[in-house]
Amino acid sequence: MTNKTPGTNGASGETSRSMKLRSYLLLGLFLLVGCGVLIWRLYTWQILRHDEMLSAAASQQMKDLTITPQRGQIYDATGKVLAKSSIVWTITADPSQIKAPSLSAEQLAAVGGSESEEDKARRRAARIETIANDLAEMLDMDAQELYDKLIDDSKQYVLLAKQVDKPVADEISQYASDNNLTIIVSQDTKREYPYGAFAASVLGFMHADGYGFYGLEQYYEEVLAGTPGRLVSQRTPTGGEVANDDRVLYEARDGNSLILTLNAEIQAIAEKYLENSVKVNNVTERGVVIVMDVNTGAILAMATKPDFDPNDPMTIYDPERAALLEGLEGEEYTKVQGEERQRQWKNKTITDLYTPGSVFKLITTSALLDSGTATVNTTFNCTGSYTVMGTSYSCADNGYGVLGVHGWQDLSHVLQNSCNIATIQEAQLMGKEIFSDYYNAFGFTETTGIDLPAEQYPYEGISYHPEESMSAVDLASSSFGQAQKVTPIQMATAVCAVVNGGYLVQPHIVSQIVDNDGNVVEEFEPTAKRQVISEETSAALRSMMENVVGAGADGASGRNAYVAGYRIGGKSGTSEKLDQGPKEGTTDEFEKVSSFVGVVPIDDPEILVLAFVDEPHAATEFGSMLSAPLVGNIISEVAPYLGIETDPSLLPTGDVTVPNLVNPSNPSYQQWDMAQVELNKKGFAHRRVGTGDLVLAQSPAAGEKVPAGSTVYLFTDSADIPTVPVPNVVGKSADLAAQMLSAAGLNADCSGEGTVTAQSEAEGAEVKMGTVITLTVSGAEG
Amino acid sequence: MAARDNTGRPLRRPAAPRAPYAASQRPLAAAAPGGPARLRPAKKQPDPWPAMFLKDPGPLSGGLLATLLILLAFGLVVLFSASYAIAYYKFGDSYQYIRSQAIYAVVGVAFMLLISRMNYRWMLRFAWPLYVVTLFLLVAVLFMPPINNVNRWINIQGLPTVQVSEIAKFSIVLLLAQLFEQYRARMHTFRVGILLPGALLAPILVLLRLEPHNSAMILMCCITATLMFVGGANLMWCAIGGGAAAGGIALLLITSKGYVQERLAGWLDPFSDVLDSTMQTAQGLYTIGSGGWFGVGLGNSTQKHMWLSEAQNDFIFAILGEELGFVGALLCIALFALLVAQGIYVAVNAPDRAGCLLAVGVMAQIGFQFFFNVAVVTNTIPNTGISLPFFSSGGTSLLLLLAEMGVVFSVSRAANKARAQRKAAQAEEKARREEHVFRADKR
Repeated sequence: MTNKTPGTNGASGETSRSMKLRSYLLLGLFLLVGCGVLIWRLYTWQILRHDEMLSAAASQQMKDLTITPQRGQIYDATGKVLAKSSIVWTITADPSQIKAPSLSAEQLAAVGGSESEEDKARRRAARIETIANDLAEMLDMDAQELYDKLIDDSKQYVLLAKQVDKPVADEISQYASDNNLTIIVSQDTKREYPYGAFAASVLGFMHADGYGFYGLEQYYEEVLAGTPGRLVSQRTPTGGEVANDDRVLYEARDGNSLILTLNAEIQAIAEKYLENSVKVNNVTERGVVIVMDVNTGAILAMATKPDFDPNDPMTIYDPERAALLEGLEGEEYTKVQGEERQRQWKNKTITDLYTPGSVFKLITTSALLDSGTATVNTTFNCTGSYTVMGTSYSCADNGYGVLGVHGWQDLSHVLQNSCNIATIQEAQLMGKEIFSDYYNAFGFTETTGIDLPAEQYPYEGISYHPEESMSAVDLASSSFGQAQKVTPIQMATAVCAVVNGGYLVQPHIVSQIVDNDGNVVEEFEPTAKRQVISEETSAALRSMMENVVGAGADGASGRNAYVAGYRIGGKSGTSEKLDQGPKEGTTDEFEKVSSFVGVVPIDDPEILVLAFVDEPHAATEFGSMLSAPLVGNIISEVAPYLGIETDPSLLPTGDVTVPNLVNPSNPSYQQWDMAQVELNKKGFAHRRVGTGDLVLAQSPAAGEKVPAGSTVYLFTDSADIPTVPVPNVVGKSADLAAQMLSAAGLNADCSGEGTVTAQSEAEGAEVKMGTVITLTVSGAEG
Repeated sequence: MAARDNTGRPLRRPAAPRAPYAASQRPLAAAAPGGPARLRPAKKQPDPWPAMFLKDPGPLSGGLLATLLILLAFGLVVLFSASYAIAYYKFGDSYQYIRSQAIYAVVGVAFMLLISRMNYRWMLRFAWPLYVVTLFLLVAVLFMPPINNVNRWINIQGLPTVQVSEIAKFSIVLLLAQLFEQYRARMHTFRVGILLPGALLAPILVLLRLEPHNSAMILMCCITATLMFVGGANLMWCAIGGGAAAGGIALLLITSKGYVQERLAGWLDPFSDVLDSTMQTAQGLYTIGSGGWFGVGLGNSTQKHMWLSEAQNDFIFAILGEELGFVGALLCIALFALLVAQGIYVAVNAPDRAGCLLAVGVMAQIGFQFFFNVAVVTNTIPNTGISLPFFSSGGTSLLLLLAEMGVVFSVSRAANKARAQRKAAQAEEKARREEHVFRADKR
């Protein structure tokens, strides 16, 4: 070819044959090799590796959003909201995407065409400072904190704020889009407990990750949680959604709500008195109250104190327990903190085993009667001491100097005296087979199955002694409740069976599950598991329990639970925590559990109130002295609230002398709750004014004769009795007038029905709170 | 004198016929009328300044024009599809890219048709001035405000940015077309065939390296090599030069560290670092691989939603592949093949060497850019930024490309005219012969 070139150059600049050949050669190479290679490569990627590439692309583009469903609410029996969810917003940001503002051409030129990394970083920092300030204002947060989070451009995700309300979230969304910022506002839910530290161990609380962690929140997690929805769509690398048809939305299904049998009003009453009792008696292992419908097993109140605020369950609320954390560090701190949290979260009514003590005598007596081993008239002799297989037993003195030698007693008196020695003989009489049968039948060897988590399962050897291995000593000790440990809910359920005609009911706390629109999804019917004792036995036990309370008569061990007008039965129990060993520095003094169970009305039982304080440290530690007043005070408010009928024969009539409640010679009676007990027994209503522990003044004054049923005002903050203006009640009906005066903080003295024609104090007169206003009533009701 | 003889520089020989070995130069000397005057070629032939416009520029090549317009339309459609998402995300205006591209396309076609009527021989007169201006611009661009940290654009406020390497490509084509025609007789010598283009290319390469703009350097080399080859450079030199270049590149790649090395590693395993260094390549492969046989349909690409960077520019072919599939990609390749083939047809029919080389040069530019672009997208070669002619976003680049096509059309008009004249002459000849025969018959 080269040889040819000169030859073919010819005389002019004409295209040579060689050039044409070479052009064609290159064209051929381009078409065959060039295009060929490209086609082969395209075939490789587009056809051979199509699936691989497609799935890689699809997986990075898929945006899979979970849509949080609204969690169901928890309502009390009257419709009050105890736990609610609201939608809140979470604010996060991608600091790596927040860059320095781009420079305009002039600015760029001004810095010489390119700017250094430091300059860029400086301008970015300035921008972030502005953003942090703006956000801090919107979020009501510290600007420096936000700045520190946003400045780190190696991060692609930082959490700026949680639980932000909608207006703020909207404002931030707008701000982010206005300024082209990668601030992401995502929806979340917040759980709120409007009453704070109220029924906390029952309601439980939420884990930070959004699921129920304790209590009803945990037990009914599936019901409350609902089903999350999903939004599958295509996304851009910065997280935005690509607007096209590939969007698939599965709606979230909101959670259902719970309606409880628990009544906030009753719960509040129970918590008020329990909290006080735990405080004034220096109770170190907390106290519990269960208020239960004896016929249905519905829980009306279930309290453990001290407890916690489920809105912030991580804080240790008991100052004494919180003090344990002081000075600890590192792992030790974490460990103790964890233990203390567990401790305050625990619902003691179902998770703690306690020694029931004499309350258990109700069970032994029921078994004795129901099995036909003895009759109500069978008598047992108490000589003050009794020995079983080398173990000697005695009866406690009842706290009033009456020594534990009870002599011959029938079954009722065994209970009234709470005689250990007679009860041991009862158990021996029926034998361990019958005892064990009833023990099992009353449900002490199984969980009650209440709809709450972490109910303590009975332990062999601790919760019960199996028949095969039960020794005579086991039997003797078990008969009066000192050799076994049960949960409060087990005891309450068993006593329900004792008084309700013998039916072991299923305790439960949720009555209905309703959906968002209020439709009932599920309803819990009260169920009786079995009949444990006969109606007759039950009736006999009721009568015995009423004798224990003895209508508040002096000497009756259960007198402090009495509320005049109501037929109340009960049984106290004071057990020693023998398994813990003696108290420090003593050889025969043990920590105690003081308990009392009361039932009202005992002739036709409706509610049961079980209360106990664990390890009280007061002048007296008897259940009859610590827990009976607690039960009595609760009944004094709950019974009228529930409209439980009074027995008119038990109501005092005419004028009654007001007892002295400010007697410095008897300090324990100066305690407001004990003062109330005195009033309960005498048929007075009570109203506490102030928040102190001791009664500093009372109105009407001690010794004053006032109409039966009047309200005695107890002043615990100051000895000065405040005055109130008298309202005009002339022309009103007697009932209405009495109510109006009561609402004004006064008492009324009127007899008969009809219209009030005159009042002893003129309208507007300032009189001491609690003053009795005499009303003149005449004529027919207008 | 003797020393000069030994240097072997025959151009300065006063009397060629005296030296026996100079006989090989004789045909050239003979070719140039006026004997000794050939020593200074520029003055030797005071050719009349060619007319800027010819009265009869010859007919347009309809086929080539049709192919070009189809390709251009195709490119605009694909650009719109590929760019609207990114334009929306970046500027809030989906039409940001396509609007200016369409305007430039219309203006460019008009400009192209105008240039096609111009006499390319007239343009050849500006080969040297253009080359000098190019060098000047390549220096000037180093002092312009950088875009993305590189100095590739003439970046003057208020004016569209112009990538100087685009001008350099045409500049070298024009100059080599002119010189290779001028020194056609000595194309096979080392001096004219290799050294001359090498010397002209070298400063451009150095300046491009300073920008830096490696892909433009590669393209410049490829275009120059093509022109050298077609222009008649000695094959042996071509082989040696090609071998040396290949060896040099290989050596550079093997010994270089850092950036180039990373690119190479990324080429060998495009999915090794998908979040960083190989992200664009990997995303490009996801994109093109998602297409399958027939693609996801025009406009339906999901990768263009910010996943694939430069979707409207260097990686536009990937979007084409995703939306129109293997079949669509083949169609695009076929159109480019057809365009280049028609361009080469123009070249081989060009009335003179310069015309031929102009057409070959422009086609080389389009062909190589097309090949490299698609090769990058398919990870056939390491990732380097080369745009796809008539497809990639970039107004001034499109304008320059269409202007160059105008030059090709100018050549084609001349070729068509020459062929028409040849045919007319043949017809006349035939007619004369037939008349002669007729007369003979008559006789």
